Amino acid sequence: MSTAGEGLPPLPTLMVVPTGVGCRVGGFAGDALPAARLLAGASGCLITHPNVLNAAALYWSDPRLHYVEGWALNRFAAGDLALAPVRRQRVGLVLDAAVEEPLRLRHLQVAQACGASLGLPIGPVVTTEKPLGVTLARGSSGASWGTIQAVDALLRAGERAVAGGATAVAVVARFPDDPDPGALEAYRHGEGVDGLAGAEAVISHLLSRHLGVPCAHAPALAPLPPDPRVDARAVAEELGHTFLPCVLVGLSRAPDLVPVPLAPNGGGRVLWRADQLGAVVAPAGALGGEAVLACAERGTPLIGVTGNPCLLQVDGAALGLPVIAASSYAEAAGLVLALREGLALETPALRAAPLA
Amino acid sequence: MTPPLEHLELVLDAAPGPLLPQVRRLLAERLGPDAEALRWAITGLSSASTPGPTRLTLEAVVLRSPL
Repeated sequence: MSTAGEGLPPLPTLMVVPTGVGCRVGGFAGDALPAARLLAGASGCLITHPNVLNAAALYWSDPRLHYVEGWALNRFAAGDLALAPVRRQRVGLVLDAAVEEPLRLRHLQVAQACGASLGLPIGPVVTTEKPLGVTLARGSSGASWGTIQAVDALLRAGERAVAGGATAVAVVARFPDDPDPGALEAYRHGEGVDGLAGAEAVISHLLSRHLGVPCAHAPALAPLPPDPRVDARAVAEELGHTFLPCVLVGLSRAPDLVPVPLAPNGGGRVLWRADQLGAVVAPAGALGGEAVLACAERGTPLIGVTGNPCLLQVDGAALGLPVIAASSYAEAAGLVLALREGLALETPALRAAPLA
Repeated sequence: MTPPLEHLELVLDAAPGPLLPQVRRLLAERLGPDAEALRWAITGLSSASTPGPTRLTLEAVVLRSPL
Protein backbone atom coordinates (compact mmCIF):
# COMPACT_ATOMS: atom_id res chain seq x y z
CA MET A 1 0.00 0.00 0.00
CA SER A 2 1.35 3.43 -0.85
CA THR A 3 0.46 6.93 0.24
CA ALA A 4 0.13 10.18 -1.71
CA GLY A 5 3.49 11.40 -2.94
CA GLU A 6 5.37 8.42 -1.45
CA GLY A 7 8.90 8.25 -2.80
CA LEU A 8 8.74 11.73 -4.24
CA PRO A 9 10.57 14.64 -2.70
CA PRO A 10 8.29 17.09 -0.93
CA LEU A 11 6.94 20.05 -2.86
CA PRO A 12 7.25 22.89 -0.33
CA THR A 13 3.94 24.72 -0.49
CA LEU A 14 2.77 27.93 1.10
CA MET A 15 -0.84 28.19 2.29
CA VAL A 16 -2.22 31.63 3.08
CA VAL A 17 -5.66 32.45 4.47
CA PRO A 18 -5.58 36.19 5.22
CA THR A 19 -6.62 37.11 8.73
CA GLY A 20 -9.66 39.22 9.54
CA VAL A 21 -11.26 39.36 6.08
CA GLY A 22 -14.11 36.93 6.66
CA CYS A 23 -12.89 33.90 4.74
CA ARG A 24 -15.56 31.21 4.64
CA VAL A 25 -12.84 28.64 5.30
CA GLY A 26 -10.26 29.76 7.84
CA GLY A 27 -12.06 32.90 8.95
CA PHE A 28 -13.12 31.40 12.26
CA ALA A 29 -11.37 29.16 14.80
CA GLY A 30 -8.72 27.11 13.03
CA ASP A 31 -11.35 25.90 10.61
CA ALA A 32 -8.88 25.77 7.70
CA LEU A 33 -6.94 23.10 9.57
CA PRO A 34 -8.50 20.17 7.68
CA ALA A 35 -7.53 21.87 4.41
CA ALA A 36 -4.03 22.39 5.74
CA ARG A 37 -3.75 18.73 6.72
CA LEU A 38 -4.80 17.70 3.22
CA LEU A 39 -2.36 20.09 1.56
CA ALA A 40 0.39 18.86 3.89
CA GLY A 41 -0.33 15.31 2.77
CA ALA A 42 -0.30 16.29 -0.89
CA SER A 43 2.82 18.42 -0.71
CA GLY A 44 4.82 16.67 2.00
CA CYS A 45 5.77 20.12 3.34
CA LEU A 46 3.22 22.84 4.05
CA ILE A 47 4.28 26.21 5.42
CA THR A 48 1.40 28.20 6.85
CA HIS A 49 0.53 30.69 9.53
CA PRO A 50 -1.08 30.46 12.97
CA ASN A 51 -4.47 31.72 11.77
CA VAL A 52 -4.78 28.53 9.73
CA LEU A 53 -3.64 26.14 12.44
CA ASN A 54 -4.85 27.68 15.72
CA ALA A 55 -8.09 26.24 17.04
CA ALA A 56 -7.85 27.44 20.65
CA ALA A 57 -7.91 24.27 22.77
CA LEU A 58 -7.64 22.11 19.64
CA TYR A 59 -4.55 21.63 17.50
CA TRP A 60 -2.97 19.14 15.15
CA SER A 61 0.70 18.40 15.24
CA ASP A 62 2.12 16.99 12.00
CA PRO A 63 5.80 17.08 11.01
CA ARG A 64 4.74 18.17 7.51
CA LEU A 65 2.99 21.29 8.86
CA HIS A 66 5.23 24.26 9.58
CA TYR A 67 3.97 27.10 11.76
CA VAL A 68 5.26 30.51 10.71
CA GLU A 69 3.81 33.77 12.02
CA GLY A 70 2.52 36.20 9.39
CA TRP A 71 5.28 38.83 9.51
CA ALA A 72 7.91 36.10 9.25
CA LEU A 73 5.90 34.41 6.52
CA ASN A 74 5.92 37.63 4.49
CA ARG A 75 9.67 38.02 4.97
CA PHE A 76 10.19 34.37 4.02
CA ALA A 77 8.11 34.79 0.87
CA ALA A 78 10.02 37.95 -0.01
CA GLY A 79 13.31 36.07 0.31
CA ASP A 80 14.56 37.96 3.38
CA LEU A 81 14.34 34.98 5.74
CA ALA A 82 14.96 31.28 5.40
CA LEU A 83 13.30 28.70 7.63
CA ALA A 84 15.28 26.09 9.52
CA PRO A 85 13.34 23.10 10.87
CA VAL A 86 14.04 22.28 14.52
CA ARG A 87 13.37 19.39 16.85
CA ARG A 88 11.89 21.70 19.45
CA GLN A 89 11.62 25.27 20.65
CA ARG A 90 11.59 26.49 24.22
CA VAL A 91 8.48 28.65 24.29
CA GLY A 92 8.51 31.70 26.52
CA LEU A 93 5.19 33.15 27.61
CA VAL A 94 4.50 36.88 27.73
CA LEU A 95 1.38 37.83 29.66
CA ASP A 96 -0.25 41.23 29.40
CA ALA A 97 -0.37 42.93 32.80
CA ALA A 98 -4.01 43.65 32.05
CA VAL A 99 -4.93 39.97 32.32
CA GLU A 100 -6.72 39.74 35.62
CA GLU A 101 -7.04 36.85 38.06
CA PRO A 102 -8.41 34.21 37.62
CA LEU A 103 -7.88 34.48 33.86
CA ARG A 104 -4.16 34.82 34.42
CA LEU A 105 -4.13 31.60 36.45
CA ARG A 106 -5.94 29.79 33.65
CA HIS A 107 -3.18 30.77 31.23
CA LEU A 108 -0.43 29.78 33.61
CA GLN A 109 -2.13 26.41 34.00
CA VAL A 110 -2.09 25.91 30.22
CA ALA A 111 1.67 26.41 30.32
CA GLN A 112 1.95 23.93 33.20
CA ALA A 113 -0.23 21.40 31.42
CA CYS A 114 1.70 21.65 28.15
CA GLY A 115 4.81 20.90 30.15
CA ALA A 116 3.37 18.07 32.22
CA SER A 117 1.03 16.43 29.70
CA LEU A 118 2.76 17.10 26.38
CA GLY A 119 6.36 17.36 27.54
CA LEU A 120 6.91 20.76 25.98
CA PRO A 121 9.63 23.01 27.34
CA ILE A 122 7.82 26.19 28.37
CA GLY A 123 9.28 29.31 29.94
CA PRO A 124 10.14 31.76 31.20
CA VAL A 125 6.85 33.45 31.97
CA VAL A 126 7.11 37.22 31.79
CA THR A 127 4.51 39.85 32.61
CA THR A 128 4.53 43.17 30.76
CA GLU A 129 5.46 46.22 32.83
CA LYS A 130 2.09 47.82 32.09
CA PRO A 131 -1.19 46.92 30.39
CA LEU A 132 -0.81 46.68 26.62
CA GLY A 133 -4.02 48.59 25.92
CA VAL A 134 -5.50 46.66 22.99
CA THR A 135 -8.10 48.41 20.85
CA LEU A 136 -10.02 46.95 17.89
CA ALA A 137 -11.04 48.62 14.64
CA ARG A 138 -12.22 48.00 11.07
CA GLY A 139 -10.85 49.37 7.82
CA SER A 140 -13.14 50.66 5.08
CA SER A 141 -12.98 47.25 3.37
CA GLY A 142 -14.42 45.71 6.53
CA ALA A 143 -11.15 43.98 7.40
CA SER A 144 -10.38 43.97 11.09
CA TRP A 145 -7.29 45.58 12.53
CA GLY A 146 -6.29 47.00 15.86
CA THR A 147 -3.58 48.55 17.89
CA ILE A 148 -1.87 48.49 21.26
CA GLN A 149 -0.87 51.53 23.25
CA ALA A 150 2.17 50.09 25.01
CA VAL A 151 4.29 48.82 22.12
CA ASP A 152 7.44 49.36 24.16
CA ALA A 153 6.14 47.23 27.06
CA LEU A 154 5.36 44.36 24.69
CA LEU A 155 8.80 44.45 23.12
CA ARG A 156 10.64 44.73 26.43
CA ALA A 157 8.74 41.74 27.79
CA GLY A 158 9.62 39.75 24.69
CA GLU A 159 13.28 40.66 25.16
CA ARG A 160 13.14 39.42 28.75
CA ALA A 161 11.64 36.12 27.61
CA VAL A 162 14.42 35.58 25.08
CA ALA A 163 17.07 36.64 27.60
CA GLY A 164 15.60 34.02 29.93
CA GLY A 165 16.17 31.23 27.44
CA ALA A 166 13.10 31.23 25.23
CA THR A 167 13.71 30.42 21.58
CA ALA A 168 10.10 31.20 20.64
CA VAL A 169 7.57 33.49 22.29
CA ALA A 170 3.84 33.18 22.88
CA VAL A 171 2.07 36.35 23.92
CA VAL A 172 -1.30 36.68 25.60
CA ALA A 173 -2.93 40.10 25.46
CA ARG A 174 -6.14 41.07 27.23
CA PHE A 175 -8.67 41.91 24.54
CA PRO A 176 -11.81 43.98 25.07
CA ASP A 177 -14.83 41.85 25.92
CA ASP A 178 -17.66 42.22 23.46
CA PRO A 179 -16.83 45.67 21.98
CA ASP A 180 -19.33 45.11 19.14
CA PRO A 181 -22.05 42.71 20.31
CA GLY A 182 -23.70 42.47 16.89
CA ALA A 183 -20.48 41.57 15.13
CA LEU A 184 -19.58 39.03 17.82
CA GLU A 185 -22.95 37.35 17.52
CA ALA A 186 -22.60 37.19 13.74
CA TYR A 187 -19.12 35.69 14.05
CA ARG A 188 -20.26 33.07 16.57
CA HIS A 189 -23.04 32.12 14.19
CA GLY A 190 -20.80 31.75 11.17
CA GLU A 191 -21.14 35.15 9.50
CA GLY A 192 -18.92 38.16 9.11
CA VAL A 193 -15.39 38.90 10.19
CA ASP A 194 -13.29 37.83 13.16
CA GLY A 195 -13.06 41.19 14.89
CA LEU A 196 -10.03 40.17 16.98
CA ALA A 197 -7.88 38.73 14.22
CA GLY A 198 -6.46 41.94 12.79
CA ALA A 199 -5.25 43.18 16.19
CA GLU A 200 -3.80 39.75 16.94
CA ALA A 201 -1.79 39.94 13.73
CA VAL A 202 -0.46 43.38 14.66
CA ILE A 203 0.74 42.12 18.05
CA SER A 204 2.46 39.03 16.71
CA HIS A 205 3.97 40.97 13.78
CA LEU A 206 5.46 43.53 16.21
CA LEU A 207 7.04 40.84 18.33
CA SER A 208 8.34 38.73 15.44
CA ARG A 209 9.86 41.76 13.75
CA HIS A 210 11.58 42.85 16.96
CA LEU A 211 12.82 39.51 18.27
CA GLY A 212 13.48 37.53 15.09
CA VAL A 213 12.21 34.31 16.69
CA PRO A 214 8.95 32.41 16.14
CA CYS A 215 6.09 34.22 17.86
CA ALA A 216 2.34 33.86 18.03
CA HIS A 217 -0.54 35.38 19.95
CA ALA A 218 -3.57 34.24 21.90
CA PRO A 219 -6.20 36.70 23.14
CA ALA A 220 -7.38 36.58 26.74
CA LEU A 221 -11.12 37.02 27.03
CA ALA A 222 -13.82 36.48 29.58
CA PRO A 223 -15.87 33.36 28.82
CA LEU A 224 -19.02 33.79 26.75
CA PRO A 225 -22.38 32.39 27.81
CA PRO A 226 -23.01 28.95 26.30
CA ASP A 227 -25.01 29.07 23.07
CA PRO A 228 -26.15 25.90 21.28
CA ARG A 229 -26.35 27.80 17.97
CA VAL A 230 -22.63 28.60 17.69
CA ASP A 231 -21.37 27.68 14.23
CA ALA A 232 -19.18 24.58 14.14
CA ARG A 233 -16.35 26.57 12.55
CA ALA A 234 -16.24 28.96 15.51
CA VAL A 235 -16.98 26.55 18.31
CA ALA A 236 -13.35 25.61 19.07
CA GLU A 237 -13.07 28.97 20.80
CA GLU A 238 -15.92 28.09 23.16
CA LEU A 239 -14.40 24.92 24.60
CA GLY A 240 -11.96 26.10 27.21
CA HIS A 241 -10.82 28.99 29.32
CA THR A 242 -8.05 30.15 26.99
CA PHE A 243 -6.94 30.06 23.34
CA LEU A 244 -3.36 29.33 24.37
CA PRO A 245 -2.88 25.52 23.95
CA CYS A 246 -2.70 25.60 20.13
CA VAL A 247 -0.20 28.46 20.23
CA LEU A 248 2.18 26.66 22.59
CA VAL A 249 1.96 23.45 20.56
CA GLY A 250 2.40 25.29 17.26
CA LEU A 251 5.43 27.23 18.46
CA SER A 252 6.99 24.15 20.05
CA ARG A 253 8.22 22.98 16.64
CA ALA A 254 8.05 26.19 14.62
CA PRO A 255 11.04 26.57 12.32
CA ASP A 256 13.82 28.99 13.22
CA LEU A 257 13.93 32.25 11.29
CA VAL A 258 17.30 32.70 9.60
CA PRO A 259 18.18 36.02 7.96
CA VAL A 260 19.25 35.17 4.44
CA PRO A 261 22.29 37.51 4.23
CA LEU A 262 23.71 35.86 7.36
CA ALA A 263 23.19 32.31 6.18
CA PRO A 264 24.96 31.71 2.89
CA ASN A 265 25.30 28.03 3.72
CA GLY A 266 23.11 27.92 6.81
CA GLY A 267 25.95 26.61 8.95
CA GLY A 268 25.16 23.11 7.76
CA ARG A 269 21.49 23.32 8.73
CA VAL A 270 18.64 22.34 6.47
CA LEU A 271 17.17 25.58 5.20
CA TRP A 272 14.04 26.30 3.21
CA ARG A 273 14.03 29.34 1.01
CA ALA A 274 11.22 30.97 -0.88
CA ASP A 275 12.72 30.06 -4.23
CA GLN A 276 12.22 26.40 -3.30
CA LEU A 277 8.45 26.80 -3.04
CA GLY A 278 6.57 24.70 -5.55
CA ALA A 279 3.14 26.24 -5.06
CA VAL A 280 1.20 28.84 -3.11
CA VAL A 281 -2.45 28.31 -2.22
CA ALA A 282 -4.72 31.22 -1.25
CA PRO A 283 -8.39 32.24 -1.45
CA ALA A 284 -9.05 33.37 -5.03
CA GLY A 285 -10.38 36.77 -3.92
CA ALA A 286 -7.60 37.59 -1.44
CA LEU A 287 -4.44 37.59 -3.53
CA GLY A 288 -3.28 41.12 -2.66
CA GLY A 289 -1.07 40.34 0.32
CA GLU A 290 2.69 40.56 0.38
CA ALA A 291 3.43 36.83 0.60
CA VAL A 292 1.19 35.86 -2.30
CA LEU A 293 2.41 38.70 -4.52
CA ALA A 294 6.05 37.93 -3.79
CA CYS A 295 5.61 34.27 -4.69
CA ALA A 296 3.49 34.92 -7.76
CA GLU A 297 5.86 37.53 -9.12
CA ARG A 298 8.74 35.10 -8.64
CA GLY A 299 6.88 32.60 -10.81
CA THR A 300 5.71 30.18 -8.14
CA PRO A 301 2.49 28.50 -9.31
CA LEU A 302 -0.43 30.27 -7.62
CA ILE A 303 -3.54 28.23 -6.86
CA GLY A 304 -6.60 30.39 -6.12
CA VAL A 305 -9.41 28.65 -4.24
CA THR A 306 -12.69 30.02 -5.54
CA GLY A 307 -14.63 28.02 -2.97
CA ASN A 308 -13.24 30.16 -0.16
CA PRO A 309 -14.86 33.58 -0.66
CA CYS A 310 -14.20 36.50 1.67
CA LEU A 311 -15.20 40.15 1.82
CA LEU A 312 -12.40 41.11 -0.62
CA GLN A 313 -12.51 40.65 -4.37
CA VAL A 314 -8.84 41.05 -5.17
CA ASP A 315 -8.39 38.26 -7.66
CA GLY A 316 -5.88 37.32 -10.31
CA ALA A 317 -7.66 39.28 -13.02
CA ALA A 318 -7.59 42.43 -10.89
CA LEU A 319 -3.89 42.04 -10.19
CA GLY A 320 -2.79 40.72 -13.57
CA LEU A 321 -1.56 37.48 -12.04
CA PRO A 322 -1.77 34.03 -13.63
CA VAL A 323 -3.88 31.91 -11.30
CA ILE A 324 -4.69 28.20 -11.37
CA ALA A 325 -8.30 28.03 -10.22
CA ALA A 326 -9.42 25.39 -7.75
CA SER A 327 -13.03 25.17 -6.70
CA SER A 328 -12.17 23.69 -3.30
CA TYR A 329 -9.21 22.79 -1.11
CA ALA A 330 -9.67 19.18 -2.20
CA GLU A 331 -9.10 20.26 -5.79
CA ALA A 332 -6.20 22.47 -4.73
CA ALA A 333 -4.61 19.46 -3.01
CA GLY A 334 -5.00 17.47 -6.20
CA LEU A 335 -3.25 20.22 -8.13
CA VAL A 336 -0.42 20.33 -5.58
CA LEU A 337 -0.02 16.57 -5.82
CA ALA A 338 0.00 16.82 -9.61
CA LEU A 339 2.76 19.43 -9.44
CA ARG A 340 4.66 17.18 -7.03
CA GLU A 341 4.26 14.28 -9.47
CA GLY A 342 5.53 16.45 -12.30
CA LEU A 343 2.29 16.30 -14.24
CA ALA A 344 1.27 19.02 -16.67
CA LEU A 345 -1.80 20.67 -15.20
CA GLU A 346 -3.23 21.41 -18.62
CA THR A 347 -3.41 17.68 -19.38
CA PRO A 348 -7.01 17.04 -20.46
CA ALA A 349 -7.42 14.18 -18.02
CA LEU A 350 -6.76 16.53 -15.11
CA ARG A 351 -9.03 19.30 -16.34
CA ALA A 352 -11.98 17.23 -17.51
CA ALA A 353 -15.24 19.13 -17.60
CA PRO A 354 -17.77 18.04 -15.01
CA LEU A 355 -20.47 15.63 -16.10
CA ALA A 356 -23.68 17.30 -17.16
CA MET B 1 2.04 62.22 21.25
CA THR B 2 2.02 60.35 17.93
CA PRO B 3 0.41 56.94 18.34
CA PRO B 4 2.92 54.16 17.69
CA LEU B 5 0.58 52.37 15.30
CA GLU B 6 -1.93 53.73 12.86
CA HIS B 7 -4.07 52.52 10.01
CA LEU B 8 -3.70 54.10 6.58
CA GLU B 9 -5.51 53.72 3.31
CA LEU B 10 -3.51 54.41 0.19
CA VAL B 11 -4.29 54.43 -3.51
CA LEU B 12 -1.95 52.95 -6.06
CA ASP B 13 -2.41 53.71 -9.75
CA ALA B 14 -0.71 50.56 -10.88
CA ALA B 15 1.35 50.51 -14.04
CA PRO B 16 1.69 47.31 -16.03
CA GLY B 17 4.24 44.94 -14.57
CA PRO B 18 4.98 43.52 -11.13
CA LEU B 19 2.95 45.12 -8.37
CA LEU B 20 5.16 44.41 -5.40
CA PRO B 21 7.89 46.92 -6.33
CA GLN B 22 5.22 49.52 -7.01
CA VAL B 23 3.60 48.93 -3.62
CA ARG B 24 6.94 49.12 -1.85
CA ARG B 25 7.80 52.35 -3.64
CA LEU B 26 4.44 53.89 -2.72
CA LEU B 27 4.83 52.89 0.93
CA ALA B 28 8.36 54.28 1.10
CA GLU B 29 7.23 57.58 -0.44
CA ARG B 30 4.21 57.97 1.78
CA LEU B 31 5.68 56.79 5.06
CA GLY B 32 9.16 58.25 4.94
CA PRO B 33 12.24 56.85 6.61
CA ASP B 34 10.92 56.81 10.19
CA ALA B 35 7.92 54.58 9.63
CA GLU B 36 7.22 51.22 8.15
CA ALA B 37 4.21 49.19 7.16
CA LEU B 38 3.95 46.38 9.66
CA ARG B 39 1.17 44.82 7.64
CA TRP B 40 -0.46 45.74 4.35
CA ALA B 41 -2.70 44.28 1.70
CA ILE B 42 -4.44 45.35 -1.46
CA THR B 43 -8.05 45.35 -0.36
CA GLY B 44 -9.90 46.90 -3.27
CA LEU B 45 -9.96 47.73 -6.91
CA SER B 46 -11.51 51.01 -7.98
CA SER B 47 -11.46 51.00 -11.76
CA ALA B 48 -11.13 47.56 -13.22
CA SER B 49 -13.28 48.28 -16.25
CA THR B 50 -12.15 51.82 -17.08
CA PRO B 51 -9.25 52.69 -19.37
CA GLY B 52 -5.95 53.77 -17.89
CA PRO B 53 -4.05 52.50 -14.89
CA THR B 54 -5.68 50.12 -12.51
CA ARG B 55 -6.44 51.95 -9.29
CA LEU B 56 -5.86 49.74 -6.28
CA THR B 57 -6.68 50.48 -2.65
CA LEU B 58 -4.25 49.37 0.02
CA GLU B 59 -4.80 49.18 3.74
CA ALA B 60 -1.72 49.28 5.92
CA VAL B 61 -0.94 49.20 9.62
CA VAL B 62 1.97 51.55 10.07
CA LEU B 63 4.53 51.51 12.84
CA ARG B 64 5.55 55.12 13.39
CA SER B 65 7.74 55.18 16.45
CA PRO B 66 11.36 54.25 15.92
CA LEU B 67 11.96 51.27 18.19
